[in-house]
Amino acid sequence: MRLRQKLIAAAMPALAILAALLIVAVMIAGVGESPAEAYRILAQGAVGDWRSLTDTLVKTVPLIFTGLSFAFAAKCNIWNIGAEGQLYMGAVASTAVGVYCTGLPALLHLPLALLAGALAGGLWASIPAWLKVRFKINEVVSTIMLNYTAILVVSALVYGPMIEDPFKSPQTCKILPTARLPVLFEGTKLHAGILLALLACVLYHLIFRHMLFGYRVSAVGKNREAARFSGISVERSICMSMIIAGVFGGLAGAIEMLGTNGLLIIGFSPEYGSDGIAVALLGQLEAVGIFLSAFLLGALRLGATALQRKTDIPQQMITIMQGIIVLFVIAGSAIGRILQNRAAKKEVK
Amino acid sequence: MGKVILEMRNICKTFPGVRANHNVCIDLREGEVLALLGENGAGKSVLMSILDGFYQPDSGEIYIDGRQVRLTSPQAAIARGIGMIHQHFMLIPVFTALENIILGLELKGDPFLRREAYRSRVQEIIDRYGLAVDLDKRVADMSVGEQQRVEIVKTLFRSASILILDEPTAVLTPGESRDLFRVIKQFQADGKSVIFISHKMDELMEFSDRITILRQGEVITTFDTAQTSIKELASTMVGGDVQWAQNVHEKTAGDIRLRLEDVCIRDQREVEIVKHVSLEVRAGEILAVAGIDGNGQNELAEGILGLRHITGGRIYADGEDITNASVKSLLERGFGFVPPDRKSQGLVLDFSIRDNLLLEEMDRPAYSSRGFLRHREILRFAKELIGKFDIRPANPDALVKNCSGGNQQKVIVARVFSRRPRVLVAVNPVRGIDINATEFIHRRLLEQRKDGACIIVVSTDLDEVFSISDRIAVICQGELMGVCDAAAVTPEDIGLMMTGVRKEDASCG
Repeated sequence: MRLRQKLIAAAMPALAILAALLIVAVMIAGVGESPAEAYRILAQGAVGDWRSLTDTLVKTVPLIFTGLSFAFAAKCNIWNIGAEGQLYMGAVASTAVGVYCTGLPALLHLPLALLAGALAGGLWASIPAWLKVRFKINEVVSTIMLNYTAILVVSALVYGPMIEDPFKSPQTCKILPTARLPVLFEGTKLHAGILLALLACVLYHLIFRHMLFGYRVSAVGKNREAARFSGISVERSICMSMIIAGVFGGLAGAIEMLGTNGLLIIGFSPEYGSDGIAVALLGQLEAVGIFLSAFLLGALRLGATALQRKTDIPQQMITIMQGIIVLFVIAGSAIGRILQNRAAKKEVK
Repeated sequence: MGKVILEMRNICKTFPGVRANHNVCIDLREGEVLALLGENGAGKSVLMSILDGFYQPDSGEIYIDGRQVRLTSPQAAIARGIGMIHQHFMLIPVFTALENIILGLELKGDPFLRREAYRSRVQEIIDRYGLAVDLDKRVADMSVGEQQRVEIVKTLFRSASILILDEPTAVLTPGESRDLFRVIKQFQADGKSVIFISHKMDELMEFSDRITILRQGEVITTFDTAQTSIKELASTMVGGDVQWAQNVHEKTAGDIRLRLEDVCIRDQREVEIVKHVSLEVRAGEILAVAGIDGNGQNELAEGILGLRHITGGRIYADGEDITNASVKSLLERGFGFVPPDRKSQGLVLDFSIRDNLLLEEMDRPAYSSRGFLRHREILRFAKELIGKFDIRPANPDALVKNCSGGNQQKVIVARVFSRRPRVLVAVNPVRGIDINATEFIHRRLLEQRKDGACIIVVSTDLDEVFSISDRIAVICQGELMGVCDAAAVTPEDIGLMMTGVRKEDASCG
């Protein structure tokens, strides 16, 4: 019976994706293209060959991290909408270390750059955490505002002190090779960031399944009062989970710089932060789910460019699909909850 | 005495597992004040919610002016002239008094809020009954008393002829209560009728015409106020047949383990809700703290457990000062707490039974080491408690939200009692659960006492108080009315003290 409840929970995201595919198929037919052909091109472009598969995985990496960022805070019942800002702060900090710390061996330089990114993200997230615990300021509002702030701070840095050449486009110098994440397979773009992302998923799973800390955070997330009555420090749990969420966000930016981009350009993130929310919700805040949904969204992103190249279907169609998926997941989790409750009630009887 | 304008006949209402009202009959006459008296859970509020159209009765009829009516919603009730002032006001804080009063009365198809059109008529009511309300003041800026007057004006403005007041004086200062009684007198003079729920017997004696007493969902009797006494009311309310057979007063009490010295607690609004309470509780003793709900006893319990800031006085455990110590340090010291609200304070409803049982044990090396949970040991521990406390379903992975109230309470009790607390504070440990679970939990409490625990049971239920306690402390409006030996006092005396009579004046032993 427990198994049945779990199956219902797992079936919901699958149904949401299916429903979104159907609706978008109708829309594709509406613009006069063949849905079957479009989805074939989409799949081909996303995972059709070794090169596109590795490219999809490259896109997956930052989505995993921003997904984990949202999910970690959500476990504590906090809404971290700030992954985008944390990502920018992480990117700029790791780029600074990657560009300006010269003469270090790779063994030291790369970890240092990653650490800088993680710390910057964590520090940035500690602002809304502090505001929430100290002044009860809603984290949704403060994290959104800090996103704008972070993006503009980074812009100011890239236009100002960090610019490579004031007469060219606004970008920083190249990150030194000693701070770059190594490419895993010759001839592809896939870098070691994917390993770090997997590691992060394992860690996340470990924390919430096997560690006291995760148990405490979940207790606070599910009933703050009961947690307090059991001697758990609610404020500390909120701060810690928000900061860890920030660390994940910061790492998303750092790995994007050290692995994929190699230098910092203004506006480099195609909304990885808000996509992370979709990833976390679609993945039901579970490590495996987050990995799979990040991969799906990465594949859709990459497939969308192929779609635009080969057909008249605009890339935005895929953004619409992503939106519909998330909408259905949210509606579906409500339906799933009702079904689960019914199943559980039968069980009791 | 005027004619009967309202009659409720054979009203029955059952909630899952609870018989809230059973064949209840009451009648109300024109221009009278009828009081409803009864312990918590006697069914007063449910009965009034039926009259207000909030609940539908399972069976039974309601007659207004001799004609049968069906009250399907509060709107239907007010259309028949029945208006209820709830304990928790239904006002919108950011709106002014006037905006709240006319809310929902807008004309269909008129997009504008025509405040001024209503002002003179509202003001007329205010003047007529001498209700001091500033129509342009925001409700958020008002005292509780003024908010209540806004509620009353709101109800009168909808031309209610029958007013239901649910414990209206519980939130008022004595002066405000005086004013309210004056207003009620004016209603009577206008031929309006009032149904008044209260626990405060002296109040009821003073200005009600008749008093109907409910117990366990049934009407016991109705007295003419002029022909009864507080003593008679108290004994009728708690019932002559108080069962206290189970408690054998073993003289096991040892040293003083917990000592409260002049403890004061102020709430968020800086109102003193616990006033200079001094108590001593010994090892191997159960002290009951009796009192009507909302008289500071829950706050006192939370204060002892470090969940509420003590603003004055000190608390000592084994002679050591533990005033305002952290919850965690108190748990480590062997304190245990059964909180008043199991769903919001005692349990994580979305957690499994196992995870709920673990809540206070998680730091123990047996169940976690170096930050990792020891799942196998935890499962064994959960299974053991489930067996020992007969928790159903006997599945450690079942979610607690799907358990019945009694089993939820057993989860809390299992968690707290299995730690063999040295100091145990239980607030209404059996509220709202069936008789079997109640018996079970009481037996466990007596076992804990035998084991030498120092136990405080906060309870609003006199049956419970007498069936398990060695001594009874009575609290009223945050003040200790006195501490009595359970064997040497009657429920009537305790009932009196609960309504604010001091021990010296209650003539008890």
